[in-house]
Amino acid sequence: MAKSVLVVEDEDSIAMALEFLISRQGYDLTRVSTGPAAIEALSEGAHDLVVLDVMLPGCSGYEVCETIRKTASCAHVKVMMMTARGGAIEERKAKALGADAFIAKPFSHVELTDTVNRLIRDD
Amino acid sequence: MWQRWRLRFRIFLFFALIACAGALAIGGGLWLGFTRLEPDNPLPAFVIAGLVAVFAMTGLVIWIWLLFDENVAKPLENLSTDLRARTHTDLESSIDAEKARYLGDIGPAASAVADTLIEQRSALVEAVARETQAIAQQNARLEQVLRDMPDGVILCTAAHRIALYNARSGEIFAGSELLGLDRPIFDLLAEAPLRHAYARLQGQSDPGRAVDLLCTTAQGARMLAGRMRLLPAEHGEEAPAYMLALSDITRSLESSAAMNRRLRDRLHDLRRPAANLGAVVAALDLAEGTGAGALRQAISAEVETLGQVVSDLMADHDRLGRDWWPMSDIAVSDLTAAMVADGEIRPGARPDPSLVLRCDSFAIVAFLRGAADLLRQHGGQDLHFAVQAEPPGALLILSASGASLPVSAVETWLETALPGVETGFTAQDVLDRHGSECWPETRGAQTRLCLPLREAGHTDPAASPATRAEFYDFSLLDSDAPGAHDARTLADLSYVVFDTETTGLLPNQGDEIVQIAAMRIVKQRLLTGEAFDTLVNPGRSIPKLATSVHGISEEMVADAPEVPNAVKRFHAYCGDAVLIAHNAPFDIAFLRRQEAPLGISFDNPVLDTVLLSAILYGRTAEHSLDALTQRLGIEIPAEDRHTALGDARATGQAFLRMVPMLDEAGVGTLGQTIQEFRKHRSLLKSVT
Repeated sequence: MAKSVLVVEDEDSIAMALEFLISRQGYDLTRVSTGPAAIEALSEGAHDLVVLDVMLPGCSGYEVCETIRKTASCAHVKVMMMTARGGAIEERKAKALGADAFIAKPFSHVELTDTVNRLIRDD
Repeated sequence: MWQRWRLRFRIFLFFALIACAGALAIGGGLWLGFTRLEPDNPLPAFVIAGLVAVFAMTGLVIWIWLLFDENVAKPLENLSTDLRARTHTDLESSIDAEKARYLGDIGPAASAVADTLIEQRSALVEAVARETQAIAQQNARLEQVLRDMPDGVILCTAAHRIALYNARSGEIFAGSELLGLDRPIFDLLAEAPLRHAYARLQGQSDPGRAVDLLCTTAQGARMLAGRMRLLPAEHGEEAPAYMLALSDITRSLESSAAMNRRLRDRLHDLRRPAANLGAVVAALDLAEGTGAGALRQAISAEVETLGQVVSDLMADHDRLGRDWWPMSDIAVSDLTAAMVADGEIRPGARPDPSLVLRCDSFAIVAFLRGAADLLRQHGGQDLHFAVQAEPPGALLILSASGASLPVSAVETWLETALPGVETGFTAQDVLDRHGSECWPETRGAQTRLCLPLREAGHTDPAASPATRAEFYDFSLLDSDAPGAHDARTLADLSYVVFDTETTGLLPNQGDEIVQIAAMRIVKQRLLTGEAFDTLVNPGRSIPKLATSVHGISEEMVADAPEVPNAVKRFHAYCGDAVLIAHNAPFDIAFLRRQEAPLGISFDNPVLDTVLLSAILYGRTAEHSLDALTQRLGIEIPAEDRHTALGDARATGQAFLRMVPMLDEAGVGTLGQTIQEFRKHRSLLKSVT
């Protein structure tokens, strides 16, 4: 059974690119655009990886990440956070709140697919 | 026995003795002539009688002169010197009356006068000390305020010489030896902008007006923003003194310039791929087959370039964009003290005392206090504050037990205004100023609120400049513009008193300097806080005999500056001051060897304390530094003797005690002193 990836991204153009690149790796993909929708999607279906933007309407990616880590049923879910503010301090914050990986926008498709594959393999 | 007789009776007896001895000499000569008398030829007998009488009388006069010189003239001279020393200095030892034991009551009387003078002076000193205590306390407060002012403050005389400076000035000029009382301000700051601002102020009708100025340090290394204000002119004074407030804007200017440069470069970098993309996309609409594939590759390459430029731009902004807001250094211990001051937060792990944070400490404390309230609102108890070094920055941690603090609560709080700071200033503004983030973490039963700071460092206690003991002398404001040295009084001149330690005594045969130390004397004050003291690598071995004298070994000077560098620095330290040394030709000879290679000249006037001692105490007295300081009641701690700094300090103290004595002796100006020196120059060869 193919692994499942939840993409949480509010900007359509980059969401399309993410869907395309991740689907090509053979993973099932679901996309939502807000933090609350992400939390709801996680409660409804089993996902192996969440690709999570930091800047989201409703609540921030950090809040979604924290919620995932506090939810027992999501203990196995890997979280990869993305942000355009990609400094060391932001990475430190993301990892402190439970993210497994952090990439800064703009990123190359190689960096994205390598990170996604690594996290899913580690699962 | 005869010392108990009255002086007048003794002098009477003495002259009676001269009369008797004279009579005896004449009588003896006559008797001898009479025994040789030949009635036919009496002349030889008279000649013999005359010669014997003359020789006897001459011998008698010489003996009387020696007695008078030893027992009257020398004791009187010693007494007058002792009295003068006690009149003009605070020497507190009694006069030794035994030196004048043949002068009747003069010795005890002089001793009594000196003792009374010392007692009265002590009483006067105590009274003055009591009366001035309150003023001294006020001064101490003023000094503290000046020291702690965030700007460098320098007060200059109308002759553009420094009369006051504060600690911040020392930091701005990086501890330069050229920052000192009565030194020209133009040694530190570029002359033209200062003169221009001074001229503008002098032309103003409003005497209280200030002008802003921008200037560089004299070597152009730093850019300073300043404000100059004239002091109220004294009656009849055409050119008033002025106050300079300076702040170092080098860093913010550099940052701003770097940011502009980077922005320009990045925009240039952006224009090319953006233009290329437009052309490639236009072509793609028309392309087919393999042509379309190549165009897509081109688009991909240009997009990658664009992404990289944007990333670089963001990194530049993170690195340089924070510097627009003024940051300052705060010790972790000070920040911790501010956090725990109200007793509601306790210190966590013991702070590293050497760790220093670069931040807007006021904003950070406001942020942390707000964060502490947030933790309490979410059930936090037993709050602790700690700082942990995380090079190149540090992590500030506020921890509490029993709290449940979700990141959403933190993010909501970040957008609310902080109490007690400027209107509308939020916690997020504090984070933006510091380019930082804040988040909660859970560690067991503890909830930690983390705030990283990007910049922190460690202070080096050895490198921190010592608080200078003297940093102002308002009497400099009353000084006339410096003119020819010769006509100025010794009390009015500025001096550099110095000493060197060397590998040996023969500069012309390869001996070299191993230490130079000096202190400045301004307005009769030895400025211990403006000392110059450096070991020197002589570039040759140091004989064991020399090391046994001054204690300086080859290992000690291995990393010290070499002779030319040390002498060049010392030359700059001397400026236009009069030089003072004990047996100056010896030290000067070592310095002058470096003049030609360095293109400098030690053409300052030189005073020698050996010669000053000879003027006051006569050529026959001992003039070694030990003997001179002992005579003047100056104690040199054993550990300081034969160190360059200790000997320079002792020489300076001796000089200061001799100045009023020289003035009394009619040697009040530099010109008069140098004229007197010519009489005693031969002494220098015999003193070490």
